[in-house]
Amino acid sequence: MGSNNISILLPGVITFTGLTLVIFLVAYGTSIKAGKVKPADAIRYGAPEKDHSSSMSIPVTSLKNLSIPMILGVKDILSNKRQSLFLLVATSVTAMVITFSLNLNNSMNMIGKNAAFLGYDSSDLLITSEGRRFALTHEDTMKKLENESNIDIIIPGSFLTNCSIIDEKTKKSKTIMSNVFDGDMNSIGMINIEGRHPENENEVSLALGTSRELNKNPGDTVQIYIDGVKMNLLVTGIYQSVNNMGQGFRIQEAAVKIANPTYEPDSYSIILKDKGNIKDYVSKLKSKLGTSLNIDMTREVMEEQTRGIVSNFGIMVAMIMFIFTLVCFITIFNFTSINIHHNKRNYGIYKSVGMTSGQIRMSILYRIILITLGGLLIGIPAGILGAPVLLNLMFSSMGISEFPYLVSTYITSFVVTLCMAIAVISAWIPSKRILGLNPRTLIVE
Amino acid sequence: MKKYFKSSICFISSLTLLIGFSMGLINTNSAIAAQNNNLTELDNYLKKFKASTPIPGFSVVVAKGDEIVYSKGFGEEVIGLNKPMTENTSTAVGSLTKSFTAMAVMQLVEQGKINLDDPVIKYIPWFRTLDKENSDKITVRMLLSNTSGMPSIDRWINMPDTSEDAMEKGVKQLSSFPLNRNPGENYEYSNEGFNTVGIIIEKVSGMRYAQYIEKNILEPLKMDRSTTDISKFDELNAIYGHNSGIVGAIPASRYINTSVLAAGSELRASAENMGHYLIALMNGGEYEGKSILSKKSIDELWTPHVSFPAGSIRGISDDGTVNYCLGWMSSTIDGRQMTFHGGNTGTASSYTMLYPEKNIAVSVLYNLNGLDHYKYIGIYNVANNILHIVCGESINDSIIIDEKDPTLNSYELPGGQNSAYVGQYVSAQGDWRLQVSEDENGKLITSLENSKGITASMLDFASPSVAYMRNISNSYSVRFKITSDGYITGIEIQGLGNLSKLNNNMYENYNKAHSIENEVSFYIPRDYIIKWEENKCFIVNTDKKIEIQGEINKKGLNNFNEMVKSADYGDIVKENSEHTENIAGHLYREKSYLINRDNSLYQRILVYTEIGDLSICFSTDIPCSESGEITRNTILPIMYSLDVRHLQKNN
Repeated sequence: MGSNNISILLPGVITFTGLTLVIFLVAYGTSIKAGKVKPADAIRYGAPEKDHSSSMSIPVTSLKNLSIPMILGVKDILSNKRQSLFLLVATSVTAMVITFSLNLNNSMNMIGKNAAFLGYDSSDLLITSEGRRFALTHEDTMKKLENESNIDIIIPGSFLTNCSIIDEKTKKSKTIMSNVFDGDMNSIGMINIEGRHPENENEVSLALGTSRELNKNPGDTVQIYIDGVKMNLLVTGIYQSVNNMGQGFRIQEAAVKIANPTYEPDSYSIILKDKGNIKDYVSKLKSKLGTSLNIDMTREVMEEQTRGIVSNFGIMVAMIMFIFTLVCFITIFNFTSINIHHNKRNYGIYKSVGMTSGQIRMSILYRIILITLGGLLIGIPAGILGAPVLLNLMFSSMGISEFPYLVSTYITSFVVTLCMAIAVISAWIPSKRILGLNPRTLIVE
Repeated sequence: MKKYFKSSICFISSLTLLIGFSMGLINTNSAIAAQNNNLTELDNYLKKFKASTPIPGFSVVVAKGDEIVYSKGFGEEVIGLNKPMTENTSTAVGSLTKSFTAMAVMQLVEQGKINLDDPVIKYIPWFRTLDKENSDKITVRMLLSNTSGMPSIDRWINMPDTSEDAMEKGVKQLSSFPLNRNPGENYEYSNEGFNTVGIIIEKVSGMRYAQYIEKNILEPLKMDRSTTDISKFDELNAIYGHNSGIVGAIPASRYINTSVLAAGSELRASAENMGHYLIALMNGGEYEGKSILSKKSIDELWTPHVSFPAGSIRGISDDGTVNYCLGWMSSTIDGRQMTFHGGNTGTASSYTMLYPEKNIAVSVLYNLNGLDHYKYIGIYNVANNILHIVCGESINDSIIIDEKDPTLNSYELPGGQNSAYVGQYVSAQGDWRLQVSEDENGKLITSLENSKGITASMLDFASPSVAYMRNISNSYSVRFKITSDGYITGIEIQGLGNLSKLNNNMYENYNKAHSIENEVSFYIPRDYIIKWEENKCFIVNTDKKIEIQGEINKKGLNNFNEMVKSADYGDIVKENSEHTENIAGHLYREKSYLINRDNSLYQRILVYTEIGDLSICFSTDIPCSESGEITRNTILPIMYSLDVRHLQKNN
């Protein structure tokens, strides 16, 4: 595994190049088409002669059970395949982007439930020593916590800042932070993406970023300086963490005590027996433990830390949704308007053979709905299945190779409803023009 | 017969009265004798205590009923100045100030000007923390009982600010800090909470806090050696206390005081004066016939509002729980209901304890912040012992230290590694400096310096990186930042933060200059020479025609104001206002002038600092065209490298 440091400019460069390329290709393609216009045809018809070679005969018997507007809708789709394909792509992309954005936003909001994937523990409470007036010693704190009948598991720990790790290739050391625990890390819901947690004093698990940078995997040994003492530790697992750009390691307290026999933990991850009414319990515990210990609900701490990212993300998602919804609306609106203009003679004929304006409008609507349904069938699975791949790529440089992407049924239903609503509204409004079509006028024209 | 009977009755009655009177007299005499015995025992105990600890000086007052039964000082006011600490020595009492603030509030409650349960914003409409909605719920009672949820930020403790509205400025800064707890929910000790109360007192009474306390508490109680007004500290010859050294104490610098925390911790008082306060508290608010507060209000002050664990402090509660009342704490100690409050300022400490049931109270004032609690009994234990002795009881054994310091360890740094640690470490803001050096026995010692002076410690390593800075008061945990190839890049000090190690080669183009008695040293550029004349020095570069004059004096013999006044300024073109600046752990007062000399513009620079028991000043005139270069390469290096070694060696 090599380094995955991607420059912050890269996405910008890719976007700019991609956009320029698309604009160039579309403009080039259109200009080629314009070059093929025959002057005589242009003068006679005002537009290139319609190419009928692509038109497809409709098996009428297979549609006989459908209503006339629906048959006309299907006929329009099949007879204007290029236009329909273009619309299908537009609705697919819109459905995919909205599905992806909303589910990602939901995943970010629910990050507290997936703390372990991001390197946090899943304890109920996090008690940290503030070292202020009337401070309790570690021994006193443990006694008080052990006497609490509602506390099930206590895992003391701390965050060491004074560590460095050796890169065997370059022989250089790098300052690194470490999480120390005294006890079973599984019991507080910590997870690895590979291997297991360290259990002994000679073991360590590495954060994904560190593991990649040093090319160390479970079974390898790594040289780490803890409090100035060099230690050779066996890598037992790899975990992902959003902290410190995915850099760090986890060890047991016993390992730190080899380096520093006076080490004492300064935080406690707590699992409660009764998880109902945690706020009340925290308040009672605060009274018992005093001000030297800070008690937080772990989920709140994590949400607090990610709140800024989540709120920014919400704004970003709202903007993306708005832009794509608008583009989709304009596309269908334009498409329908142009289509009505092109086919007004046909619609005049339909009217003259007795179809009502409503039926004609419904035929237009059916066409759009059918295309949108197709778009949803492609876009939603793409948004759901493709997103994790994209996210894992995006977060890889931050030490996350498996982003906890949550798919919500409600959100998916919302996307279906939203896309259908956009399709119906953006097709129905311009189809009003059908009401103004007079068969007699069309015959005169 | 009848007459005979009457006479007999009279005789028997008289006899009974006589016997009763005699018995009473005997009882009184024996009580007096017992009390005298107790006081003699107390005197012996305190003498023994003084002899067994490195505290430079302390004073004690014991009040019983409406009289002071014992008041005395022990040791010296300031080490080296040969002035004994007496019961009249004014010293800082720290957080005991909170009880005075609470008393002031209760006076205003009695006058109907404050309601304890009204929100603070009723009195200070602009008051807020970061959490406006919650801070609007904070009441006066919550502030006084430390249940407002406001933390002790203590950010401004070392910030010199002598302005009258310093406290208000501090309270206004709370608007950018969040509450630690919901108002009224739990105990959260807060100096800032009491400062906020100080502002309420100012708004309601229309007087400055210090003025109110003086007029309504200190004057009626005849506490003439006490004040919360920092401009009067020098008038009272209030002492500045001591920092801790390795085996003894080090006189603190005459630091510039701050009024920011006035209502929470700025009272200076003598032990004898504290006796007046104790008498008033024990006698329903009356002192020598004058009432400053009702008994009902004193009961309110002592009513517990919230309880909290005593932490690892042994001997302040039988069950490990302490109550916070209003500016006072209470708990059961040795089976007796006690009311108390302590205070620490970093260079002094105090403890006051009342035993209301027996109407006995004691105040103990140290001119040191405290002592290592693994080696010596705490100030609260001393106060409790005093009460036991005065009551004729034996000293409770439970306060004898039976715990081992868990940080003690057997690790020794491998030989030859000391040099890697030796050097100067400074904080990013320049307010702290740590000097690591080797003593004559090859042991690493530290000198931690800030505006309050020098704290010296012995470095006891637990690993190549982790060490404990041990002195008579504390053992701070420190972590040296050490690279894998053995270089030390900085240090993290518990409670202080990170200090970066200065490059040991930064003075390679400089020579070290020492004062005649070798008490002060600093670096000067190699192209300068230095001449000493007693306590004065002249740092000269003949080529550049630059002369910097320096002067070292015992503290108090010179000060910045005198230096400014006495200087000959010549033709002043512009006078810049004085400012203070932290440079490598020392607080410098600086003033500069633009002067016209022989039709050339010069910058006159005056810098002054006080370190330990010394005041040090430098002054120079620099041609304006060269002022930047000379300040950067000559004056600043002198200020950065200024070192007062003798204090450390002696202690």
